[in-house]
Amino acid sequence: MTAARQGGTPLLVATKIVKDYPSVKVLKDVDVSVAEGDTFAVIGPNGAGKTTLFKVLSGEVFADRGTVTFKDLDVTRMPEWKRVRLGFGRSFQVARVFPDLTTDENVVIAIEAYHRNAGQPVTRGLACKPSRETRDIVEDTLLEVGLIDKRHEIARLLSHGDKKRLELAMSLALRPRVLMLDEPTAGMSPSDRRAATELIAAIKERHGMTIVLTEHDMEVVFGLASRVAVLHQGAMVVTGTPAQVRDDPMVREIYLGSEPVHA
Amino acid sequence: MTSSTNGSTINGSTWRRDALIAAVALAVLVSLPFVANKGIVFVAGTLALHVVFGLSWNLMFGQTGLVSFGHASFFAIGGYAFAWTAKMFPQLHPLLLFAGAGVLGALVALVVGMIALRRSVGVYFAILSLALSQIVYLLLSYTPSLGQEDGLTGIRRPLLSLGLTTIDLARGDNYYYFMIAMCTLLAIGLWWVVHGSMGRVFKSIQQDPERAAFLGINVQGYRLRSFAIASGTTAIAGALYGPWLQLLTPEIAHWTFSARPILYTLLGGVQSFWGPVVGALCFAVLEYGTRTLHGLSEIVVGCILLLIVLAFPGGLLGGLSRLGKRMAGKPAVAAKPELAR
Amino acid sequence: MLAEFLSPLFNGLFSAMVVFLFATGLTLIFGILRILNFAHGGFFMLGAYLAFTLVRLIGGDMSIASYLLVSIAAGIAVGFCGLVVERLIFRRLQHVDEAYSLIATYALLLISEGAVKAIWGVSFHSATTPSALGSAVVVGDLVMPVFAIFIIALGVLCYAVLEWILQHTAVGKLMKSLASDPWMAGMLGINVPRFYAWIVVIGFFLAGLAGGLLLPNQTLSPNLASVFVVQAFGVLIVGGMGNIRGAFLASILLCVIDSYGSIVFSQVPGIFFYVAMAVMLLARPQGLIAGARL
Repeated sequence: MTAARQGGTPLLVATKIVKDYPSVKVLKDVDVSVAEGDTFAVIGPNGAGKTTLFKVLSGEVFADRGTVTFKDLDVTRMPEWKRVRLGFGRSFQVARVFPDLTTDENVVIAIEAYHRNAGQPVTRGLACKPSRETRDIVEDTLLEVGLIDKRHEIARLLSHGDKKRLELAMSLALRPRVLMLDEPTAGMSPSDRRAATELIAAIKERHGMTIVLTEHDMEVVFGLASRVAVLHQGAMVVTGTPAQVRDDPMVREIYLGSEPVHA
Repeated sequence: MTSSTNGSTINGSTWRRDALIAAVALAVLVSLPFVANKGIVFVAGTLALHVVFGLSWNLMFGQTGLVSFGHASFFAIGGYAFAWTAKMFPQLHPLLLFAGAGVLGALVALVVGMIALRRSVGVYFAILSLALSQIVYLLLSYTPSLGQEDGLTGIRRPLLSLGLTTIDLARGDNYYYFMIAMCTLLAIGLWWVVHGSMGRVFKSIQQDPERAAFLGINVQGYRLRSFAIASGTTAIAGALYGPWLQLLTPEIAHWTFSARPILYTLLGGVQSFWGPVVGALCFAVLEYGTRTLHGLSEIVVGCILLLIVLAFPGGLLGGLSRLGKRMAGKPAVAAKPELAR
Repeated sequence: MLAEFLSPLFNGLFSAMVVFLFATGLTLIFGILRILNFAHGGFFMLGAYLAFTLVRLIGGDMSIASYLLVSIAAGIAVGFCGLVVERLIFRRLQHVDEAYSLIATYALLLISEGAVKAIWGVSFHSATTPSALGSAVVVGDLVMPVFAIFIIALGVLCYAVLEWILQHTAVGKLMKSLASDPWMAGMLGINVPRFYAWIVVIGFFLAGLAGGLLLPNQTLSPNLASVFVVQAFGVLIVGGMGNIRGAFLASILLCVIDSYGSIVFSQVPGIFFYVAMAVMLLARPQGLIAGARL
């Protein structure tokens, strides 16, 4: 049912993904097809395999069987750093930044990585300092995610929400074609959550990249997603527009019914 | 502000401070032969080599989180390569031989690293490097053309022709000055690597290799680079050591010598570029101060090391900067490098 | 004919048990406290020198009983050193990063070397083998020194005892649970610091004991401290991050390979130990016995 798509051309496609861990079968023949321009949300109860699917798509782990393609290129066995160079960007469930470096150093590393990946010069001549251009992008990006006032702070000392913002800034610096967000609002207060949702929507608006996200909070999911996929016990149950998914009786039973909306 | 000391700051200012420190250190080293006796000059020259040895090891540990227990084998590879080729091909220019020793060290590291780094990091890489260094040690100890356990003797300090003039490095303190100059260049090179964009990549890998990979950074490739650069630099330091001592024994490949840069770095502080320098200086002072006390020398050095570790469990520089901050009333932030990940 | 094949095996087993006896205390401390104790060799050497002095004091020919008693005495003395070391140093290093405990153990190595130099001097000494162990058993053309047979038996016995303690006693189960999750053990009301102290004492006791037992086999000099440590580290890691069974198997594997290798490539004796160690680390980085602590 995922194969039949309306709208954009498929960008990131996973077919018949199987992933086992020593004692459990986490993913059973999962199909995913994310079209260019989608905001694609994967939802499901805890233990449904969301994070594993996310890891398989981003290259953190490889699938045991099945294939992952990106822009029609087979990336099933491609390590994460090579996928990033093709246009992947991702954030982590618990924000991961370089803790002992400052906010702007974190972003500089990401921008320079992008330039290097694209085969462009990173610094001029023998200079140690980042180039003027890099520093401009740092400023733009930090402005965009709202961290400009905290640019000189050590990342470790940032609040949880700010770490998430910084991580987003680092991903943006890579100018990804597909941005993968693993629970972007996990552990946030309702107000932070709203702010984060708005930020993601604004980023989407401005850059127009494809977004894949997993999320617990239904308000966030239905506020952002153009397509929603429901994962249950390692199998894909339904994929469709938010409205289709919301009205699906099976989804109501296994997910919306069994868990409070603000889980 | 751990960040301003770890060297990868992008906001300038560190290079002025570092240049000032380096200038003072150089002034002391250069004036030493005029004011101090031969024994102290010898200690200072050896210290310069040990500083490069320590700095290059920290390029791996402090920058990419790679622990090598076999760094001395590259020191030895450089030393033996230079001494042997200088004996066999005296017509070759010494600078070429020094460079060659460095390239050889880097190449060996590349080959070893390509195999070793693919499978192992952390304690495994540490123990693997220990095994490889024992192999080097045994090979040096049993190879007849390299003098076996007696090592290579009578290594000459070469003539250095620089186009217009020729300097006889065997005369007076010439070799000492030559060594100081070479070590300064090597240290500047390492400083540049640490503080430049490659240093920033290294730093990100040391902090969180997985995160770095998701920025499109080839973690293994950069670890390999830091391993090769560190090994090449150390090999040049080793090459300089032969003519300085005019003797090389397999002891410079022994694991107890590999422990030195580790001690320098941890003692001085991992986070700071200057950590290994401070550590090496402490060691040199301790050893020089206790050189006449047979047996007691080790006890004194050991006890002082213990006291420092117990008092400043984060290296001297980290400890001092925290002390300074406490005096200034700011909260202290402990730096936590990890050995085994 | 047979000897050509069996004699390297015998020699390999002998050196394997030498390394294993040396490595037991190291493995115990690493397995539980995660401290890579560079000083282990130093305290092993201290045990050997102490045993040497005791043997001299007793004088005359040594019986097997007095040889064993002397070794145990050396072990107890070194174990007491362990108590001091634990109180003064290891305990304070518990909340410090493990990299820094490396400096501390290296400092201890220096101190033990210095102490040996200051007390016994730098000259070489060697002890005689107890006459009861001095002969050799000859089977066909295979010559097996009784002392070597004795050491092999001791190594196997030592392994069997440790394995039995770990697998079948309450203390052993406690040790295993502590090795895998000290936090949980603390939650269950176990006095973890006191337990750690005991582990260090036992580890040092084993170092001193090994020093005494292997005395007849060694030339005593202050270099002794750094002779076995690298091999022991190798055994520890190849075995699988500090478990006794792994260390036992790894020491046999590496030493027997080395023993045969030294025949093929006699120019550089001892090199195959490290070659095998490197290959094992690359081929099986998780160690021979993966997953298990102790």
